[in-house]
Formats: sequence, structure tokens, C-alpha cells
Amino acid sequence: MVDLITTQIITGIGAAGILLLMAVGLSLVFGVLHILDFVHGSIFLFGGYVGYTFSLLLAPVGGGFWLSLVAGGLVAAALGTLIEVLLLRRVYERQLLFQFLILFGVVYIVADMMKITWGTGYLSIARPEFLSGSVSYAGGGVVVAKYNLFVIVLGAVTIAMLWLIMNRTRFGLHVRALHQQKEMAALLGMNTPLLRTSVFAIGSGMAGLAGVAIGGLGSLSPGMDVEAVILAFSIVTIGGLGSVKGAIVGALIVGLVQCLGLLVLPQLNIAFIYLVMAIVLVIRPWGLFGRATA
Amino acid sequence: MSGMTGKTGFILVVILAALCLLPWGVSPMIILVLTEALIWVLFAVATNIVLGYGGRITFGHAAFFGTGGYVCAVLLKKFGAGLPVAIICSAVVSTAMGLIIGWFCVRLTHVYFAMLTMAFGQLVWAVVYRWRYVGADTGIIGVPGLGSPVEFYFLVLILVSLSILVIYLVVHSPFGKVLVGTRESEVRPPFIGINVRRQQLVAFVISAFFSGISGGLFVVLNGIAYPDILTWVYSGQVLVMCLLGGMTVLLGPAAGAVILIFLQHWITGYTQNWPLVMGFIIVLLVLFLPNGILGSLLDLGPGRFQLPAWLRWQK
Repeated sequence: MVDLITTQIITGIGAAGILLLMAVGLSLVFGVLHILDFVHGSIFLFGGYVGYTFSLLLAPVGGGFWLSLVAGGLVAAALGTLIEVLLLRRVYERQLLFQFLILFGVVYIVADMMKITWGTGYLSIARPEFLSGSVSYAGGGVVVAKYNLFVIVLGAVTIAMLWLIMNRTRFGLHVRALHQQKEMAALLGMNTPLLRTSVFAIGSGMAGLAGVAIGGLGSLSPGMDVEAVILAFSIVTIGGLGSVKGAIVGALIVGLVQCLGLLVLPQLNIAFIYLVMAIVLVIRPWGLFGRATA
Repeated sequence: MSGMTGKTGFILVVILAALCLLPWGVSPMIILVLTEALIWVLFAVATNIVLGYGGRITFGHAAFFGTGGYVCAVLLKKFGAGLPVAIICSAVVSTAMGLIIGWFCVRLTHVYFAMLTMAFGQLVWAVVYRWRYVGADTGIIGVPGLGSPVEFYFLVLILVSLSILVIYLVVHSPFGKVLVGTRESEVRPPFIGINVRRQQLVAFVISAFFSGISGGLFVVLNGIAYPDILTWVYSGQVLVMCLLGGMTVLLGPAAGAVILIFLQHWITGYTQNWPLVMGFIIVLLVLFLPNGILGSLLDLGPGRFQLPAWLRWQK
């Protein structure tokens, strides 16, 4: 039983790795742009599909998975840039409802475009050789798929890089300034429109990475876009909107609730997540790590 | 808000009379689409009590619509209840659910209100989706309805008209004025002894009541209750209707609902890519017509009114 729980926990952390990439991007975007990025899921799925196409193109050459991971992230970031420059810039000063609705419209557009391009089937990305199969610990009691471990590492490395960018570079300093006081940042001569675009692009790129990662873990299909973004919303609200630390803890909580819920009451394992989200919002609306004034 | 002037009243009577005479003039297919549109009219106008008058972004109103639908389906299919009983029970159960969910939600505002309504909406969906008694992911198929589509059309027309009349009376009563007051400011109403949360909660519950009725009618019309009617797709579509018609006018969402449903049926006749079209409609509306079609028309008219602060462009 203990082994089973341990296995589930590690699987849970693996699932959390993908959720984490999504949620951290979402939280970053909310923290700096104060936008509920509803298209985050669409960009996630788009990145996955682009990764799929690249992995097919590169299949004869080899090393396709890694290149498609990079390509998925970059093309997703490009789509994010496009959306930010064309649409989001026009609604920053508008009411929350309009910001939300315009993104809601973009979700429909991107989803339908993807359906036209990639169809409605289930597509999966071939894993590289050495990431298939599983490893076992504790005398074979705890079995974990290698790919799950890879996803954990991918999540951790990406977050670490984001942390370095945000805390050790001039660009990160500017983004943090924008996050704290946007008027002051603009007055000091920072190029705030460019900063906003970059933050949205980074968030989108992380979503794209997550999309390629999930294409290798399971499959990509229409409908996953909104499913994923709602899950990511639940994570960032549990952890606290705008808090990257909160997103990490939130992703762990949601990943674990999902997997342990499967052991306890499989019928209600999805419901558990929204229950946790509702409870956190009622008790502490700004989330576990958010700021009350945010 | 321009009141129920003689001119407005006349236009409404003409529209109502036309709706009553339509079954003798148009094809049964159009009557079916119109019935669906009318059901959405009620859902949209009900949602707009919270959205337009209360000023709270609800992203989980399908929970009440879907609950009404499921209650109706269970009563009609499994208990052999009559249609009136089923519809009344739909409204009652949705109201009770609105009271429970609303009690928590009115504590929050802005993003957090939107997130909490979404969480509750998803929670209801997640439970129903796995609940075998109500058909889990397939839903309840073969819900008995009225034999004749025209009879059902008239039933829907009467119910929806009466409901909208009640909603009109509510939002133009002192209660409605105070509700708009709580939308404009959460700080000032308490100074004159108004409990913002209670005001918002009552609005939320009234909205849930009418959403439940519309959900019940929707399920009877389609003969099936499926988990999708509880999801963001429906919660979002009703927001789009409110945006399309205009949130600042009582009948704005109604106009939005009729236009969107007819547009959907018309465009799906030509292409499968309705979502693409709808997406572009939403984007263009937000960018160029944020007051919706009816709201913008009224803006042009002689009795123009001030937009509420939360809808005005903040430059």
C-alpha cells in the first residue's frame, strides 16, 4: 500500500511537472499584465501540435523530439507575441470582462484553426528511445515511467531558468519593476510595451513546452486547450494569482489531489480539484501565496 | 436607463404579437430554432441580472442552467412527472443551488468572483459527469416532451415573456436600483445602510431561478440532458449573448441570444467552422462595439443614457 501511494505520489509530481509549466506561465502573465490569460490553453495545445509536426518532419533525421520541444516552445511564443501585439494591447486599459471576453473569442478562433490544420484525431509525439520504459525503486515496489521523471526535470529546469532570468538579469529587474509599479517603470524610461510583449511571449513559450511534453506523455486532441487552462486556473488560484511560488505549490497540490483522489474515490478525483479551489477561494481569495492587495 | 415609454411598449407589443402569429407563417424548422432562441433569451436575460445589473462576472452560470435541465430530465424520464411539476422543480432546485453557491460567491469580487463561479460550475459538472444515476458522461437520453412543437413553442413563449416581465419589475424596483448601486461602488452603499452582499446574493438567487427554468425548457426541447450543458461552453456562450446584444439594456441579452442562435443555425448550414466565426464576432464586438447591438442603437437614439462606470473606457 505504501509503495502504491509512493508510486502515485511520484506520478502525481510528474503530472504536476506539466501543470507547473502551464501554471507558472499563467501566473507570470497575470502578475505582470493583470490579465486572466484564457488563451494559455490554446497556445499550449498549439505548441504541442507544432511539436508533433516537427517530430514527424524530423523523424528520418533523428533527434526529432528535442528539436520539436524547442520548436513547439518558440512557435508558441511567436503566437503569443502576435496575440499580444494585435489584441491584448488594445484592452489593457479596459474592464476585466472585456479582457476576458476578447481572449475567449481568441480561444474559439485558435481552436477552430487547429481543428482545420491538424484534424480531430488523437496525435502523440514519439518519445526518444532512452525516455521510454520505466525505472523501479524500493525492490521493484515503486515503479515510475522514465518519461514522468523527465517531465519533472523539464519543469524544474524551466522554472530555474525563469528564476534566473527574473532575478539575475537586467530584463528581469525591469519586469519586476513593471510588476510593482507600472507608471513608475514607464516614467523611468523602460519600454513597457516591449516588456509586456516579452512576458506574454515567455508565458506562451512555457505553455508551448508543456504542450510538446504532454504530446509525448499521452496525446493531443481538440478540447484539451480549455481543459488544460481551467486546470491551470485552478492551480494559480489555489497558489495565489500572480505568485510563481504559489503556482509551484498549487501545481503540486493539484497533481497530488488528482492522483491520490484516484486511489481514494476515483469517481470524484476531478471534483476534488475544484473543491480545493473553491475552498481556498472562499477562505483565502488571494490564494496560499498571493498578496491580499493584489 | 430609458424607461418603458409609450414607444418602447408599442414596439414590444408588436414583437410579441408577431411571435404569436409566426407559427402560421413560417416553416416548423424555424419554429424549432425560434423556440431554442427564446430559451436562450431567458437564460441570457437571467444571467445579465448578475452580469449587467450586479456588475459581477459570472463564469459558471451553466451550473444553474444545467441543474435545471438535469432535474427536469430526471423527473420526466425516471419519475414520469408532468411537465409543469418538472419545470417548477427545476426552478426550485436551481434556486437552492444558487443560494448555496451564491452565499460563498458574493463574498468575492472581480477576478475572484469569476474564478469562484467557475470553480463551482466545474465542480457541479465533475460530479454529474461521473454520476451513474444521471447517465454519467452520456447523460439522460429520451426525455419525453410535448407532442407538438407549436404547443411547446407557445409554452416557451408564455413562460419566457412572463419571466422577463418579472425580471423587468425586479430590476426597475427599488431593489434593482440598489443593486445597480452596489455595482457602481462597494464602499458607498453601506453608508446608507445597504448590505452589499445580501443585495448581490438576492440578485444571484433570482438569476439562478430563471436560469433553472430555461435549462429545464432546453432539455425538454432537445429531449436529452448531457453534461456539456453544465460546462464553460454554455457559461461562456451566454456571456457572449449578453455582450452581443448589450449588457446595459434589459432586453440587450435577449437580442443577443436571438441573433446568435439564428446566426449559428444559418452559418452551420454553410460551413462547419462556426466557432471560428463566433470567435471573430466576439473579438470585433469587444474592440468596436462594447455596448452591443441594442446598447449602441439606444446610444444613438434621443433618450440616450449614461454608460455605467465599469463599462466606460478607462483612459
